[in-house]
Amino acid sequence: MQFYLDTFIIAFAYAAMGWGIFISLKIFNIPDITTDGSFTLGAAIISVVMPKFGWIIAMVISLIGGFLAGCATGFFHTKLKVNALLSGIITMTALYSINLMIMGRSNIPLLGLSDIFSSVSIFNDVVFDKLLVIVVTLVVLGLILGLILTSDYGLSMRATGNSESMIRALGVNTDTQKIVGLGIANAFTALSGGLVAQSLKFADINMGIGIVIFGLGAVMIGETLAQFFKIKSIILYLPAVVMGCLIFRLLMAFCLQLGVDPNGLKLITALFVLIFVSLPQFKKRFS
Amino acid sequence: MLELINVNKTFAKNTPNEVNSLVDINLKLASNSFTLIIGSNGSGKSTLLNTIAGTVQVDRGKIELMGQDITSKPDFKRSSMIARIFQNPLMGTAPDLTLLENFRLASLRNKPKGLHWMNKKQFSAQVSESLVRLNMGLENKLNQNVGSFSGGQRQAISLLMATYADLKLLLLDEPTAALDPRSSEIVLKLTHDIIAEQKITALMVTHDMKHCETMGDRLIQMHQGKIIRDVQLNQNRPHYEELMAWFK
Repeated sequence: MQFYLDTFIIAFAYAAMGWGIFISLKIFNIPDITTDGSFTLGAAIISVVMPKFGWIIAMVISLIGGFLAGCATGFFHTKLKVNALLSGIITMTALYSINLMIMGRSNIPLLGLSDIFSSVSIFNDVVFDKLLVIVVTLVVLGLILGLILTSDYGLSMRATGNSESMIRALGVNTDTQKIVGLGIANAFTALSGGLVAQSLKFADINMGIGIVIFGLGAVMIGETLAQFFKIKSIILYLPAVVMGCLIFRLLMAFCLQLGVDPNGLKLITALFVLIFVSLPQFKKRFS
Repeated sequence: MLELINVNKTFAKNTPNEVNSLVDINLKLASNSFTLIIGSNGSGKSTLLNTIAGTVQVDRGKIELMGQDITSKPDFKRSSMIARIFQNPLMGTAPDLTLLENFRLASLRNKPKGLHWMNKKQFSAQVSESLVRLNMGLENKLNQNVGSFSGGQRQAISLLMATYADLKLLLLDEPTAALDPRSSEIVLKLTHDIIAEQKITALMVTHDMKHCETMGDRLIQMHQGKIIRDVQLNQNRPHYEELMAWFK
């Protein structure tokens, strides 16, 4: 039980990163590899700032850090005309060094510090406190993102990824939209990195490696769920992505319980993503 | 109203594929005029529209709109005055947004798109009112994604969206080229009516010589990047055969 409750907490902590991928991939149609670096950036900032200034300031700074990282990728892509994928790879590579510079070493333990999860003490079991904190955090973040996406600004963001010619003809600077949009996406990713670091009680320089694949898988599962439940509203896509993260983490937890070697988890992650990405093709063939 | 002064555009300069798309183009459009542009493929018609819209920047020359030099302005900055209908009906609308959301963006063409939310009920009533004129039943499909509509419906929606907010100049790039005859007729009639009602200055590229028999008040023919014919269309309009002879 404890094992699965922990899985729920971690899955929800990853959900903000899933929303980040959702923004870059599904709204802007940009495969953004920056995620791997900005996720660790969020954790790195938490590990250094939180002990001195507390978790609120640390999370605000990690949000800003992630936003700037995303903006950098957007700038390379739109202003320097670098391929979107390559722009993300450049920022991600640069972030590896930046994260090391921030942390000063490759791993920082966060044991015994006051963090977002220790801010609430209602239940006898600390796991339920953690679950409550992460659910409330996600609801607040989801509401903020939902409000942005349904506003006029969000509409023009969605149109930028959907029909660039149309939205430019309606007076929108799509370059700025992409820069800010990738900024928002990576701000959510960095926030997620910070939440995961606080949950696991450590920050590690390698914790973001391959995370984009996990996020992609979560978004794909979320999309499959959205199609199954015939969800069209952009607001309802957000809980679908959260469910995607949860299902993905539960599948991995189940594999671990079956005795799968933890070293093989990345391989399993890749296989899961491959299955979910190719599901529509299977569906077509069998129908 | 619109003036192009010695406008030149060359693609793939200094390469074996160099194309002089626009060569010393001088053109003046009067307010409320409706000008048609014809010409064979590669004559520079679409490039001319693109340079006016701002999606292609000129190499040399000047473009003035309402006395304002817009030569170096990017397309999205010109859109406060210029609206555009694309040849491909899919380019003028966002397929994954609902009809209402598409119109919301169209209504904000000259306004900032910030953290504001539309009053759905009030705006739905406004949009329904303008959609009724299409007689396509779209007023009952406001919450449907535009991607589910036919090419003809989407082009008609594009036209309504383009003219939903105030504008000075409407550019139409073969708006019926991808449509079936019936949709084409509906879109053309709508174009004609909206231009007349709103007193819009319009510039339309067409490959269909029949349009020249019935539409517009001025006809320009382009060839190899130059304007080779510029005629006023009054009562003595050129007939189909005569127009076809211009291409020989």
